[in-house]
Amino acid sequence: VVSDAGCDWWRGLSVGATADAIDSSTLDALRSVDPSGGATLVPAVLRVFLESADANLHAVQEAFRARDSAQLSRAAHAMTSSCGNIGANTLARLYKGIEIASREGRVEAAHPLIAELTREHLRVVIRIREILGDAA
Amino acid sequence: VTPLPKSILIVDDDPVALIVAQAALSKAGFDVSIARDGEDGLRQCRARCFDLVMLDVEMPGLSGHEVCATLRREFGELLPIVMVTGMDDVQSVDAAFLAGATDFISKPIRLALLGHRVRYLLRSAQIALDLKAAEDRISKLAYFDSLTGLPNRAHFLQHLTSALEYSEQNARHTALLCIDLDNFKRINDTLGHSAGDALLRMMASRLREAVRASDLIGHASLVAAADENLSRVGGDEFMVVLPMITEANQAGVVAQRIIRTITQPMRLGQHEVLVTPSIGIAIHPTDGADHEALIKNADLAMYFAKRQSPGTFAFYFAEMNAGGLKRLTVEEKLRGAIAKGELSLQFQPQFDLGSGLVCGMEALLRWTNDELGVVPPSEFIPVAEESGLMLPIGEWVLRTACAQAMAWRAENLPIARVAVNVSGLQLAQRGFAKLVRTVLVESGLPPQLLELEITESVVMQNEVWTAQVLKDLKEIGVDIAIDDFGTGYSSFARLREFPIDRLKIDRTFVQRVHNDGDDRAIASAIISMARTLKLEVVAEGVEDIGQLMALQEQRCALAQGFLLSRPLAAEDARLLLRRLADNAGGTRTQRLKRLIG
Repeated sequence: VVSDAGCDWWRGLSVGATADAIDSSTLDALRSVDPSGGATLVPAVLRVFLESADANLHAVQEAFRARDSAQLSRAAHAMTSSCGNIGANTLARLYKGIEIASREGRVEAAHPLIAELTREHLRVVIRIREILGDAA
Repeated sequence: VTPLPKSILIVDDDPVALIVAQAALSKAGFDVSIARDGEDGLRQCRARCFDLVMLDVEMPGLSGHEVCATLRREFGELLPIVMVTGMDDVQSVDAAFLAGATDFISKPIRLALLGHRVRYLLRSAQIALDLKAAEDRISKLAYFDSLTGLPNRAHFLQHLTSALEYSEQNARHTALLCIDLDNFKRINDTLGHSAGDALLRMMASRLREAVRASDLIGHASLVAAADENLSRVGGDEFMVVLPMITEANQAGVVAQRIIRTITQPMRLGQHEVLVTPSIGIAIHPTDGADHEALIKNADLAMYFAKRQSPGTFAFYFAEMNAGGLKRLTVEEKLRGAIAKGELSLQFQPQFDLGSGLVCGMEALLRWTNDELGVVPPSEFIPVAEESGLMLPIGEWVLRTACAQAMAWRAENLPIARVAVNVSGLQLAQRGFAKLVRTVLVESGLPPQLLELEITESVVMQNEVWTAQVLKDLKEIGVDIAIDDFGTGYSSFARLREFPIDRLKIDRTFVQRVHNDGDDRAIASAIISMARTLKLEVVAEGVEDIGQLMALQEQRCALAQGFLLSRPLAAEDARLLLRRLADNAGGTRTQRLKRLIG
């Protein structure tokens, strides 16, 4: 169970496996601010995300395994922000939950979220590859 | 011309966030730079000037808060800094505020609105900038002289105060140079005000040059404030502050350079003029503990330099304060003394030791001023003589004394004569004898009841002229006495050539007349020689019985002094005369005893 902590920007988003791995409206918003007209920013952002996503996931998992709450909260925080930026809202919500739990010193409470993390991460990565493939 | 796009620096360690924000702000028309961590962000800020900085809070290395605080410190309060914080992170928003952030944006950033958000922020930043500029303009008006652009008096006072503090903390001295242009008023009056203004502007720039060149002797950290060290504090009066000097001589070097720079011919229209400065120097803390004392003393030193020789400088020394300032004040107040009725006469009786009766009254001038209190004649008479006030004051004394003597006569009081002191200046004044005649006629006082006292030194200064004037006065019929006799080294032989009636022996001899030795011999010699010349002798300043007895022994006929009577106000003098008239009987000794007892 994820602590909500007044984060109203999650509200109204679909939850669980049934939701899109990546919210298409976020990508539309990115396209709308694309100085080149919409064709290049989204792929560029997604590639940047992919470059660090695996390593970041690994960092979160390692921190949890070591029960290093400070490191865990820092790593999860960074991913919350990145995922939010590309519209990977479900993944962002998981990271956010982990960040809050670890910041509040309840590292164990993050356990179910960590378990879900890998599966959601893969969903996002696959979706990104699809989009990048479409764009190519 | 389209204005340059506003420049924005985004500092974020998250590459995704960077690329997204960069895109959004570029799209909104901003010139965007990015930095991947705090150190890089600071480096870029120091290298160029950004209109706005966006900072992520959580970064490895320097945190956003740390970067924010550093930027605030280095770039002032007007640089807009936006912190990008977590949505729910109230703590971090608080910390951002404390670090000096202008605003915060929470994640995830609403990309469509980011450009607008930044535009709004830049507008309020611009308003703050405009306000600051207006404030600067106002302070420029309040603290700078509009003619020369130099700091004005208000600015100077603030600057001097802090310069004194700074030098004091560093155990150094501060010199204050007060500069006055010697012939400015004449140039201003003859060539007109616009020429005067042009001259002042030129002088200001020459002074700037001279003072700037002197910064080498100052302290490095104060060189930046060099332009503050020179101010125009009055019409043609400038002040230079030299903080952090180690010896007074350094101020003298600067003063010399200023004199050299100012004293160069200058073209004003078709005229060539030469202006010289007079400079006074006072050193803190020796010559004044605070800015007020320092300014006063630098001013005083300037006044001395100018009087001594225009176009020079003088260091302040304590004696200036003792005499000089007081003299200035005295002169200023003395100018209004007659009109305000501040002058008065006291009368000191002269006694005939033979009869024990009053034979005369010496009129003594007194001055009581509201602010200065009772000013002794030894202080204001020299000032009156120097400033030309002696003539009207002397005339007032003459008229008042004659009128008083007439009033006593009208009451049938036994007054033999009234004695009035005449200064050398009055005597040298053309028509003095005529003035005396006029006053006598107007008052109705018989001439033989007026005695004019002239000091020995005045008589001896210009014997030919004095002899003529005394002859004129004698023709009118007044008595003439030589005052302070014995101090002017005159020979009795020459004294013979003057038509005089009386000698007044100076008090310094009288007070030592009962001592053994030289003083007694001198007094004795004066009295016996006066007798040979058929002159009466008046002993001045008789203070005790011993002196009185010694004088009687020497057969000195007349005496005046505290023992017999101190100087009296007109009314008290009248009462004394009345008492003497009523007690005219008895022996001489009885009368004298009554008098002293």
